[in-house]
Amino acid sequence: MKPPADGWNRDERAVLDMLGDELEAVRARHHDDPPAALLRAAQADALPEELNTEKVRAASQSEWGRALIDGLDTVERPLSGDDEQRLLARVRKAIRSGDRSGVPWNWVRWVTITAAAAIAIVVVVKRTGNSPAALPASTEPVPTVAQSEPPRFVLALEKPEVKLSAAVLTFRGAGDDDFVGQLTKALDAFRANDYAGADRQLTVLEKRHPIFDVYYYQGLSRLLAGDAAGAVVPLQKAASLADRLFAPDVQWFTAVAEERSGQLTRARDRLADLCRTSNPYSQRACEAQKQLESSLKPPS
Amino acid sequence: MDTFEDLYRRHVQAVFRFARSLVGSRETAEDLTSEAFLALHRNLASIDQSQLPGWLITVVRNRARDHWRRSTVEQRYVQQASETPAVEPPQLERWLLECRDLKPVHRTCLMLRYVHGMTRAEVAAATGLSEIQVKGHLQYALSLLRKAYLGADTV
Repeated sequence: MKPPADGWNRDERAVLDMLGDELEAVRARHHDDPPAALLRAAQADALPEELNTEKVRAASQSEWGRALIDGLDTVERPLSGDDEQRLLARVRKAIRSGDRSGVPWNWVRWVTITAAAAIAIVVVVKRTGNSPAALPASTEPVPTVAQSEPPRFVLALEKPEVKLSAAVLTFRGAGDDDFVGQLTKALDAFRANDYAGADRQLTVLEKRHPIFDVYYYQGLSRLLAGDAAGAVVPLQKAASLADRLFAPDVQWFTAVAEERSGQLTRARDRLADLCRTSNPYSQRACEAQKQLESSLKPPS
Repeated sequence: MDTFEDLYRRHVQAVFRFARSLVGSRETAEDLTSEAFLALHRNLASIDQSQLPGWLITVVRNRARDHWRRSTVEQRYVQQASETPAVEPPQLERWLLECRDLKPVHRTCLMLRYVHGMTRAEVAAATGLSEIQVKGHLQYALSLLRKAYLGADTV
């Protein structure tokens, strides 16, 4: 088997020798798979149509593709304070350079563009003898602007009441660690609809206290702030720590986040689980599962 | 109404996180993030701030589509038809996908290095981990794999 450019170390070689042809067989099956980043973009509906081919869609929804993406999703390396400052400085610089050119430059630019367009029209009309309406489509890229029409989702998002798990209610920390006080502040921000503030505070808490409530409200804060993709991982972590009381809530909100971040297959599977068991979301989950199922069917 | 800087501070992490999930590199994600905030600055007067960060997220998604459109390497997947292997996957593949002791990140590191043939540095760049973390994850995953093989004749 051909090693990667940095070669195998001794441990790797020993295990790979042990696997023999079987690893070759797995490699051969996935030799032509699209790269993981492309699969992830496909799942988040961020590919242009020409790249979002049947092959890419199928690979992103396959068990292998989903496992690859799952691993990538769990790694969070946020911008550091320095990174934030550096990016802000970059944006400011771009703003200033735009401002310097100012009105006179814009005036010159528009006159130039209009003149060039007029000449192009005259040339094309003369050559083809057709009316301007028959001109070929512009090759200028269409400016990318935010869509004004908000997307419609099957699963409604309603802000839940704040409630705490037994893990927090029975929390006993070290004397200098005011976890409960800090969590209370974060949850106050959540109650006051300051979701970005709540997320920031919970992100700090998560490092020292990776417990259910921190992940759950971090996920909810992101979801309610419109960052569904960012909500999925903390909600999945919360799901792995949830007790019976919270399990249906976490499942429901994870499904909401998954639908909103384009992970429809996972949302559907999660709803199917909720639908099968008796819980406050059962009925809604069964109905939503059917609706998602029909939107997942390829057009006939 | 909040200032541009207030909005930047409030939403930059969410916007960057989203950008990072759409493109393969951290640098490109930073580019998309700064482009989104530049667009926000240009449109600040006309934007309903209650639509944030959704508006920024949409800009990032559109910019990511432009990024992928420009990429040439990925164009080769445009023409190819879908080829789903009809045969059962080897047991090793089932183990990779189903071993409960492997966390998703371990699994992804294993797949990228041993199946997709990446160097440790490439795995680190693709996942956002450090090379040391990648090495640690691989070591752990290999030890599980070794145990699985030594514990039974087949995986």
